[in-house]
Amino acid sequence: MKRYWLSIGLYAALALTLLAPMVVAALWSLVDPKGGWFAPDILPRAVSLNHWRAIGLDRSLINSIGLSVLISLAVTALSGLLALPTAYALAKIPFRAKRAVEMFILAPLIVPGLIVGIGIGYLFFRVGLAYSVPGVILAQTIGTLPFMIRILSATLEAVPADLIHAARSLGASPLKVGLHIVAPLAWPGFIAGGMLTFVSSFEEFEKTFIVGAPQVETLTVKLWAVLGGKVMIFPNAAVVTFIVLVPTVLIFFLAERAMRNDGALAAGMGKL
Amino acid sequence: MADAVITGLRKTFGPTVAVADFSLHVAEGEFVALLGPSGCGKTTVMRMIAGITQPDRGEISVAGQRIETLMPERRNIGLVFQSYALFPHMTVARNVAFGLRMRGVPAGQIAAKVAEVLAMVDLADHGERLPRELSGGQQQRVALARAIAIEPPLLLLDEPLSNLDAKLREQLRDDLKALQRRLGITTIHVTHDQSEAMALADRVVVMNAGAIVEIGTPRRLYQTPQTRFTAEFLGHTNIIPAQVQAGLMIAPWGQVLGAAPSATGLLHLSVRPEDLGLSPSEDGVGLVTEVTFLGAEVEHRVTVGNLRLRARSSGQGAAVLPAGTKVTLSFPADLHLLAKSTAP
Repeated sequence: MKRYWLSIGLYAALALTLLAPMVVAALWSLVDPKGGWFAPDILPRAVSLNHWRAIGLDRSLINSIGLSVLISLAVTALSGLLALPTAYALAKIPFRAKRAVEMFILAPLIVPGLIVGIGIGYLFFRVGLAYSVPGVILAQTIGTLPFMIRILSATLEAVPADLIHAARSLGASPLKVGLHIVAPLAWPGFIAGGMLTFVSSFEEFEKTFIVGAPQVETLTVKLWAVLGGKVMIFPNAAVVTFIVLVPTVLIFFLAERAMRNDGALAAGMGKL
Repeated sequence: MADAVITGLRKTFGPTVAVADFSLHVAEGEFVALLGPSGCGKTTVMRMIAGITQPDRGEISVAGQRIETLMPERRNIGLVFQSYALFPHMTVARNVAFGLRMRGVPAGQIAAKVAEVLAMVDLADHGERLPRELSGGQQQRVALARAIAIEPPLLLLDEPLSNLDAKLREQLRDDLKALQRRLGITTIHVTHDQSEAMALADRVVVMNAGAIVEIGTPRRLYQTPQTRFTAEFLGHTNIIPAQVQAGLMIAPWGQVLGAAPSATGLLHLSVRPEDLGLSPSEDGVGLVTEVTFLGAEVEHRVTVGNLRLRARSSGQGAAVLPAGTKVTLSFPADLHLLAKSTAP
């Protein structure tokens, strides 16, 4: 009985925080400009696909989507590459002041993106990285790195040290231990970290805007432009919102499927 | 010759001395147990031999080759862990084959060797299972098979039986011993379990606080321990202080225990509970305070003055004396003295 109420509560929370805003956004994207949508109406007077059509005709949107995917892929790869050694050290090598280093690594999560953005925006302007795709990739990586390091180090920590010692004693070099033991056991963490990084890069706005706009127009920057600067144009914004949401939903759907189907993965996660 | 020689091994962690000047020679085919309480340094010694931990100084040679500076994968040492440490994503056969694959052995030879060692541990038909589908005892046998598949000159066992329940532990202990004899593989076994060490080892190395306390055969260490630590760590014992007067050893309660080997001073005797005799007597010096029936044995706790002694008797004739009984104590003719320097 208790569990029953608990699940009702969880579903209600999910509906309130996720579904309700999405329903409103969906309605806004469908408002017929002739009819409009004003209080106290619960639903728009008329619906049409006008806004979707208008956005769809905008060629620059396709470019923005392509650029966003490209940047997110680059940020994911770069984060993984930079995070791996740090995560390994945190997980497997004992050293002095480990707690302090951990705090330092997580610090970017505490500082608002806007502040980080302004700081690096100025710096990047000085060194010539402003308004460039590499600049945006670097700026976003600053934000995604703490997540990646956290997830990877937690995953690597869960690989028992005895397994690594056993493999070494059986003649495996560190590289072969990584290939034959650590990678097969830790890959769910790598996938999880990669997906989270991809999504948070895809949705990043502040740092991208400060460093890249107006030259580098990712989807979120495009969303800002569509919002119209001084006056908000809800219907247009709602359409772009859904486009931004697509990869997020897709990725988490795929992740959920993968976790359910793969027995080895489930076992791996169970061990974690 | 596949012997192992360890000389002057030392390891400190910050201000803590984990192992201080550890030297040991293990002969070819010998089974040696490192025995001691947790934190005595026995595991650190094992990890230094395996190459998991780097010694501060000291030398390790196996089969005449210096190995202390080699990477673990170059040492060719078989390792078995308390946690089994089987690779969970590989079948039993692939686990056992791992060391051979890393050595680039041809597939045909690997298959033959895997079949051979799995048969040795009675798991011939379990090759395609995953480790999680096996019982703890079976998993540890796979770990053993994996370690001996590479035919190492030295086998290191780190508390391999500690995760198993009592019955299974005895069974696997016997299997382990039989296998070690059959292969004649030089073995170092780390344990905190004295009965395991005594049952398995040719020689036991008793360790405490990072140093070797005493080395000897299980029988020698049990019957004639040189130190109080060994006497008390291997089973139970009664330590009895005795004064030497006129060439005789006198117990604190005045009883003459026997002829003294030296002229004067205070001596310490170690008397095993099974060697201490009790007989009820109205004018006895001892008082039975507790009786425990242990199945095979009966244990009496006896207070004499401020000494608390333990006496055990076994067999059908073993008397059960109720608490409150006054008893006289009898000692074996062949009393064992502890070395003076280590007496309390």
